Amino acid sequence: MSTLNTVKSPAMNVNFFAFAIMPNIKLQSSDGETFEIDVEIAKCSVTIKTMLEDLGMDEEEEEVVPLPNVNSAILRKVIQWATYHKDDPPPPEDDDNKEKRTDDISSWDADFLKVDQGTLFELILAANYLDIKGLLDVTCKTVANMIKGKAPEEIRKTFNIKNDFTPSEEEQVRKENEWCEEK
Amino acid sequence: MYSLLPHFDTPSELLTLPVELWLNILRMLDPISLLTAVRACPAWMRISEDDSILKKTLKTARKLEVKLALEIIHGSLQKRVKTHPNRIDDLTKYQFRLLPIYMNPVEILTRRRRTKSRKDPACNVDKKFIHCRI
Repeated sequence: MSTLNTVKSPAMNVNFFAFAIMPNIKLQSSDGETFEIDVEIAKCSVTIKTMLEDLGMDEEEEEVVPLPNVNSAILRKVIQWATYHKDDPPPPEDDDNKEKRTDDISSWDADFLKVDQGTLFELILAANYLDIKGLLDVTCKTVANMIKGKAPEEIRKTFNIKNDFTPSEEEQVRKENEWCEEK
Repeated sequence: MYSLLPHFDTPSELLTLPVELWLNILRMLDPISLLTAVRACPAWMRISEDDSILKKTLKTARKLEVKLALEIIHGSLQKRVKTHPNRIDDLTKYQFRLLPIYMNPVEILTRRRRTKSRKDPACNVDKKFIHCRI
């Protein structure tokens, strides 16, 4: 977080360019494709940021960071997202007790996430693995919006869910509204 | 762990999300949407019942639903009394007054929906409410 902030201040920018001769980093997807991107963009992933700090990877060296859990199609999308959002302020901390808004997805993000469900789920997994909170938030919100305001049958159709309630669970759903609780 | 996840028919089975990510998503839902979701998917119900926050939200949702049902029953009764004052005999009034005491109002509405009697005032209920039910 501090790294992102310091780079933004003009004074540090000068330092940054003075010291970092190679501000690029190479990321390798699970299927072997290599992407060369700005280190600062890559660092929006906490996983990559920690990796660079812990391993003391020198920015001047030609390091390739392997990402065995992300394929090239998804990594390309993630990089596209991170590049667009590189100047965003860090997302606020979560309050678990508060219901989150899901209608505040920016139009760029909404367009970006107009993908099939498989890709959307892969993006969630990638965002989770790479620890990119902003992307994880917006993708999860998109899935939440796919559930909201729908009838159970529509939800099953959307997510291809089998109605495999066991008889005892069926009973539980039926009895869950037991009136006596309210008396 | 994976047995807890929703089952997908197609190769997309590989794409199911881990429980903690589903919890993350379910926590973003409003109470009624969550209630609908767990009724749609047994796996979601299982993981929600094990999560303290979601369990609390579900409880709120059930109370809300009962309140909504009572309002609808009350509303449709009043309408009926207004439009067909002659058809309401004392017995009906008595029954309607007693009914919610013995039966969950949510049950009353869904039962009425199943009978599909068009003359029944409770059939004329909010579509959105009916949507909440299985």
